[in-house]
Amino acid sequence: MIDEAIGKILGMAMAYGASALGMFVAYINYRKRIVKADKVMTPAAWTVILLSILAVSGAVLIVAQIAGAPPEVDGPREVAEVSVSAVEPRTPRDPWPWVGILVPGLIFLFATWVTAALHRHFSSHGHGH
Amino acid sequence: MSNTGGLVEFVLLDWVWIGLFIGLMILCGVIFYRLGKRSEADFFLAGRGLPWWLPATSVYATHTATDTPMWITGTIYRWGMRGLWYPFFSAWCAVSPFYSTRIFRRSLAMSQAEWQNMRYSGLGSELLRGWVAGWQTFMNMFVVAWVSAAMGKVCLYLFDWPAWVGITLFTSICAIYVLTAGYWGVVMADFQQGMISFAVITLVSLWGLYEAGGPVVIVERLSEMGEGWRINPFHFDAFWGLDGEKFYALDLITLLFMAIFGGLGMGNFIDWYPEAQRIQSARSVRDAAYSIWAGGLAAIFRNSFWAAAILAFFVLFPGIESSSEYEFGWFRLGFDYLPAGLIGLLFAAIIAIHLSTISTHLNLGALYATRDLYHHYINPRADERKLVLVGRFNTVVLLVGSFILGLSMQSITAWLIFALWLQAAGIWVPSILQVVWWRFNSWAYLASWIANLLMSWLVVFVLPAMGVLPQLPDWVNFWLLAVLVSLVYIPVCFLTKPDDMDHLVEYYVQARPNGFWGPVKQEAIRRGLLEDDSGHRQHGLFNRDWTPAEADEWTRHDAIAAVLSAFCYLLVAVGVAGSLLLRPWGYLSLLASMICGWLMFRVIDPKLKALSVAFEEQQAGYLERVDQKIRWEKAP
Repeated sequence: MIDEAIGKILGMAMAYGASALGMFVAYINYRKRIVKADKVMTPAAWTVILLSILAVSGAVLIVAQIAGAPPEVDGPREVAEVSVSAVEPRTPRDPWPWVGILVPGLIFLFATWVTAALHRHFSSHGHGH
Repeated sequence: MSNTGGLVEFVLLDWVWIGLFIGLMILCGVIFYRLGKRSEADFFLAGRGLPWWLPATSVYATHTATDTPMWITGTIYRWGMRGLWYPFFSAWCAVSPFYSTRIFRRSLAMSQAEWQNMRYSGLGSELLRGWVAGWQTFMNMFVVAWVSAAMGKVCLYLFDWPAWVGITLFTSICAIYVLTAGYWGVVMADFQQGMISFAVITLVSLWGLYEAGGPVVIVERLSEMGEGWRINPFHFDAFWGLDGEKFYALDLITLLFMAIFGGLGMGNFIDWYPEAQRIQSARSVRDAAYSIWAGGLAAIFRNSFWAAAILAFFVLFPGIESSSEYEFGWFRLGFDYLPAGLIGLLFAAIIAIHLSTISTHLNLGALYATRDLYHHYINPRADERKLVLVGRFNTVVLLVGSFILGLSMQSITAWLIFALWLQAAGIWVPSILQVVWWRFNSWAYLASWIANLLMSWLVVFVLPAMGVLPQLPDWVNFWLLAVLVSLVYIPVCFLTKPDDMDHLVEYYVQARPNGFWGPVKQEAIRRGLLEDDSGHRQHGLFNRDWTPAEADEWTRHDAIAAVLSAFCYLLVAVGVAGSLLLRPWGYLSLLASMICGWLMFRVIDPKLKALSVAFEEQQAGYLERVDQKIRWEKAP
């Protein structure tokens, strides 16, 4: 398992690397298919891109310097670690309760009927074409 | 036969139901194999022909991931009923149907990346398309890895299985129908899985309320414990403040502002991207609007059921300090108290929730990789058979990539979750501006993405670590980032040229955006592409007689419908939770929400019908133009 601080930097590099790769493919295509001359980018655009690359590189270096003790940031959908200390032993259950047969059975039958109805409807109408 | 390795006892009856439901879910996807393989539009959009209730269930199912019950349990257990406002960002689905959904559906773009190419012109538009396609391909792979990791933890909790089994087993099962039937399989299975999960969430939540003694006892117990504030969704520690451990009124205002105004934009929430696919799969503008509205509302409904159940859990197990323990609260209500058979049903519902999220993101990531990267950039002349084949290949690549990410690099997910959260701050305003303002150009939007990365690092990560800034509460981070990033994209916007007017006029005539589009609209009228609307009749609020040209125009009906819809969402959130606890304000809120919903329907439905009919008559011509663009026969 890699260090969490390094993982954060690597995650950033992967996400923005994939985006930059997509942008690069777009750039190559634009030059190939639309503007075959050299004047594709305005000076302003080049300035923005170069400054951005410099700024991203600088930020990566700064974070790499201080990555020894990064603060924790709580995202809104953080996945919890599993801990089971508060769970108490369970008492044995009736293995065949009627409610455990009837309720799932009804839902299962309804879901099966819905599946069959959807298939009949959309397949027979050649939907979407 | 029972499972004794984990913490939950599964008997034969449970396994029977789990097996039957898994079989049914796979079957539901696979039987649409013949429809999915017909074309690229079928494999990724079900042929653009679905009635609203199918994508609506898919919207709901997508908003419900394996870790959603854990996250919502965590917020409610910690903050009480006011924790309902954290997941309330789904309320962008209240406004979007009457604004951005309509505009996006009319653009006919298969993906958000393709839309960038239609909204903007020139090199900037292509760079944006490539950027968004790369980002989305990777991010969907990451979401699959992240949700699979959550499933791995659930399986560890339930069965004591090693993490890799939970991560790979159910995701691989899901891949069977995504590979065979594409989006047809995804949306049909989502319908079935959405129904199963909704039924089980309701059942377990009501069961939890019963086990805690019923609503009256729960409220009494909370009062006795001095925790009566927990049933008040509008309980604030102060109007504003800087303590991240407190809940301020400004937290709620920020969350409501983000949620409701976010509906004007495209791409400002992570949920937008899958919902954009659902919008395009609907058979008309009206169906697209209702699919987003109903799917979002179902998610709000679900949150309130969970909220009431978690208060019951709090009464049963008060004072749990560790978030990693109380986040499993809702699962514990089910697994600790349900009888045999229903435990199997609950686990089948967890699998349904998991499969619906995984299938969406596998297909969506493959859409960006196939439509935007392969079809547009690598092989613009590819035939439909080849495109479906490449779609399947990309699905496998995403699947394998997600396993690698989920199994060997779990610490990376911490940063990526952070990145997704930050996405909502820095590019939130630009994502709205690109829809509402004609002058906002591709360079400004691109600059906002890059600036957001830097600024968010500085504000949330670097400066606090260096001691320059304190750890700020979420609402301060949001506004600070919004202001800082604007210092970059606003100058970039004005220092670079506006998009090509011919391109803007073409986009305007097809998509009909609203807001600050005056110069483009005037140009379209001058060219004879649109008729001058100054002579149109003024209609009453409940008018049922719209001509196509009148329905195409933005009127007060759209704004009123959006406002009523937002109130409907808000009142449902409060009303359902309050009613489950037998509070009079809960009943009143629920009644008021129904009135708002009914009024909204009366105001907007005739108009949506008229504009849908008019647009469908022109759709074939517009689709041809989209195809020309992807083949580079029209300049970007």
